[in-house]
Amino acid sequence: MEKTKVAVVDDEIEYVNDLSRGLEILGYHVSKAASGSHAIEVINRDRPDIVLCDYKLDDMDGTQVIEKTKQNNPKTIYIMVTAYFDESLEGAFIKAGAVKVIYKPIQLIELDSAIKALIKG
Amino acid sequence: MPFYYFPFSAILNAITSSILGFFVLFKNPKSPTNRSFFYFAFSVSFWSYAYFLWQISNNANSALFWCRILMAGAIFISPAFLHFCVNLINERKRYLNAVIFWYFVSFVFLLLDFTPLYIADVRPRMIFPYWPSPGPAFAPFLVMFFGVAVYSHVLLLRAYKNLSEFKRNQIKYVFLGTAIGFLGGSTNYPLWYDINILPIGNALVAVYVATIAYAIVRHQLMDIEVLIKKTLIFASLFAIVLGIFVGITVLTQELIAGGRLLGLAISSIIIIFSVRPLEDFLVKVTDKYLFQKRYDYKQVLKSFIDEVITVLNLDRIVESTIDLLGKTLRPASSDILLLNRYEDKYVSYNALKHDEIFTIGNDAQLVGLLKTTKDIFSLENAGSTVHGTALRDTMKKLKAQLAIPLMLHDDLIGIMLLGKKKSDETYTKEDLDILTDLARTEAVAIGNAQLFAETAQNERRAAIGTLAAGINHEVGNPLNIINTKMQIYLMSMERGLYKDKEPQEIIEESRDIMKTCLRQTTRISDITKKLSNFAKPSKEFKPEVTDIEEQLEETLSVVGHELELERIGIKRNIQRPLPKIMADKRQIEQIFFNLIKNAGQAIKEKGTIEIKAGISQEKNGRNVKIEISDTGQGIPGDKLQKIFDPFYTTKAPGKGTGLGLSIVRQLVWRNKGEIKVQSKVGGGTIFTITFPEGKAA
Repeated sequence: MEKTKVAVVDDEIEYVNDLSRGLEILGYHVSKAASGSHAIEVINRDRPDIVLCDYKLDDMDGTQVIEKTKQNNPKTIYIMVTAYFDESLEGAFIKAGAVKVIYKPIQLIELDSAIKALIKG
Repeated sequence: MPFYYFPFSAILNAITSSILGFFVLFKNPKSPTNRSFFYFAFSVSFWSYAYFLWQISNNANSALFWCRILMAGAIFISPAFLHFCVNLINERKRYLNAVIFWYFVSFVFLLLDFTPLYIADVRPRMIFPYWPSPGPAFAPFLVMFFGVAVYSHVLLLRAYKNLSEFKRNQIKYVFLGTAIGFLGGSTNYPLWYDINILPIGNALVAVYVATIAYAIVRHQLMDIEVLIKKTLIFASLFAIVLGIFVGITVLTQELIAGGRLLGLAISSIIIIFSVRPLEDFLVKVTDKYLFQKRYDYKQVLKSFIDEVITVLNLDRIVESTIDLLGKTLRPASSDILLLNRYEDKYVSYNALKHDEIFTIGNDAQLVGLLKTTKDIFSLENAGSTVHGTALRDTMKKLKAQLAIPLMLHDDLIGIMLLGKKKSDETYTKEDLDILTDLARTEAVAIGNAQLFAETAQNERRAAIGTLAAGINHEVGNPLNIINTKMQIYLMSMERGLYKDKEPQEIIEESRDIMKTCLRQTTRISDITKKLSNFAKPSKEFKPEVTDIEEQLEETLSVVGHELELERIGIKRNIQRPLPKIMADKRQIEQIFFNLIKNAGQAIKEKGTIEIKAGISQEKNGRNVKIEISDTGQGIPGDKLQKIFDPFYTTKAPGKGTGLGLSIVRQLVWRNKGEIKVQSKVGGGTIFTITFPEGKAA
């Protein structure tokens, strides 16, 4: 079976590296992006199955990343990552096209099972 | 000088003193001040009555007798005055021994009074056939008389400095009146020692009666204003009526033989028709001239109404209102109950000098009545129905004569309660009209102040929100990194990824993880230190030597991140070294926090906030000048004038409470600084703050 492709988007580069390494250990194929515009490029190029996107990016919001890539990648599943708990934001994420919201700090094992469930379902 | 001047002045002194003395005593027999004043006035009137009888005596024996009687009164004048003075200045305990001592000495003189030791005999002097001659004990008496009188006046003067304005006014009149009175009375003594000066000052004794009566009506001395007022009106009325009666009767008798009956009839008719208007006239005149302070209260209340609306502090509004009502209408009690929405009750605001806290439920009959009538309710109008009885009970419980609704947009936000007037007078129609006006403004002022307090609270919450977001980001990021690193390490271990690795390799990796964790924990502790420092509540104003740049950096460490997220750059341009200022550090941070946040909000898309700091030479010496400018949309001139007003905002509805800048300006002023603003539409806004250079005190 082919490896599941995940794109990790966060403006804190050290965090992107760590998260990617963890996902690689868990058996994923990972692409990294450290900004919104970079993410759009990476998603259109690598066509990941899953996009793990931080909400507050330096150059744009995570929802904008979804809006700008969703059309070209209709099969991609978007997971929004944020540190701020805010119910109204959750609604906005879902409306923008995210299927799930995950709060930082991310627990790799939980993320793993969440991704597996999403891919299966 | 006609001879009858002397008996006449004596009888004048006697009558005025005894009337005033008894009035004061009956008004409040329990008050030591009133009682001691009575002793004093009684001594004076006793002396004066006997003086009168001595003056009209027609033989030496009777004259000597009345002389001794009059001196019995005179002996006690000084000690009784001392007694009154120590009570008036509230120093009863301190001078108790002195008072007792001088009373005791007076009793010794009283015992000597009926011996030749005190008054040797009476003999003719100048125009007086029977003037007394001093015995050997008389000179010591004179020493006491003047000594104690002077000492008492000195006590009044000494106390004057430390007393309230209110008490000072009373003392001023007492001092003046009694000083003149004593001097006038003293003109009686030279003739005893064959010094040919007539006792011309005798009538001046009555001056003290007049000034004290004046102090009573104008300065609430001994609180017997009304009685005096009523007596004054009654006496004048009586004099006028008597004048009319006597005048007309005498006139008709002279002109028409047997016109006595006719005169009686005419004067009776005139009196019957003129008494009411005359009384009204007298009331008006006394009100206007003697009770001017009270007459002016309407003016005072009106100007208060204009002022109170600008006050935004609830405590000050309520306290100053109660204070003002106390001074103008002089109710026995006054209170303001405000609606507590959580408990659904009207609760008395923690007013000054309050020993009882009143509450009434929102469902009380009185509340219902005020809500429907929206008008002042007076106890007098309670009526005797069951309904009225319940209302009356409520009013009595609240010790209120009037309940004045404070209506704001059809909402009863509070109730003003006024007790009976201290004067026992009833509230006039005019009083009620003014109270209605006052209540209307008061309600708006209270409403504003409550809103202000609420928005200030919101402002604080917004600041906390910014801080919380800052904490979340600044602390959350490093925590995420540490957390993930550890997860990966453990995961790798559990999955046996380290099995095939060289020990050296594993050690290297562990060291990297530890280093990262250390770096990140230091980052966290730095930011928490700064945040806790920033969030400390500033309870009081605590000026200290403050480095502007340090406070600026502290503030930027909190707001800077948020601005960077919004793609706003911060440019610093700081001239070093900057002089230190004397200021409250916490407040300086608050000033910067608000100004920088505002600058950030003024910038719609990308932009820059520039912070300049340098030295400027002003009239008051060297100043530190800070300029915070943004590249935002700017503020048009008409709005610029208002931006420091509370509640004024240029932000979209819901975006700003409009309190930030008014608070900023208050804080700048409190730290002896000045704040100015310049702006150009499309060209951004510059806030300039200057603080005088400060050295540690």
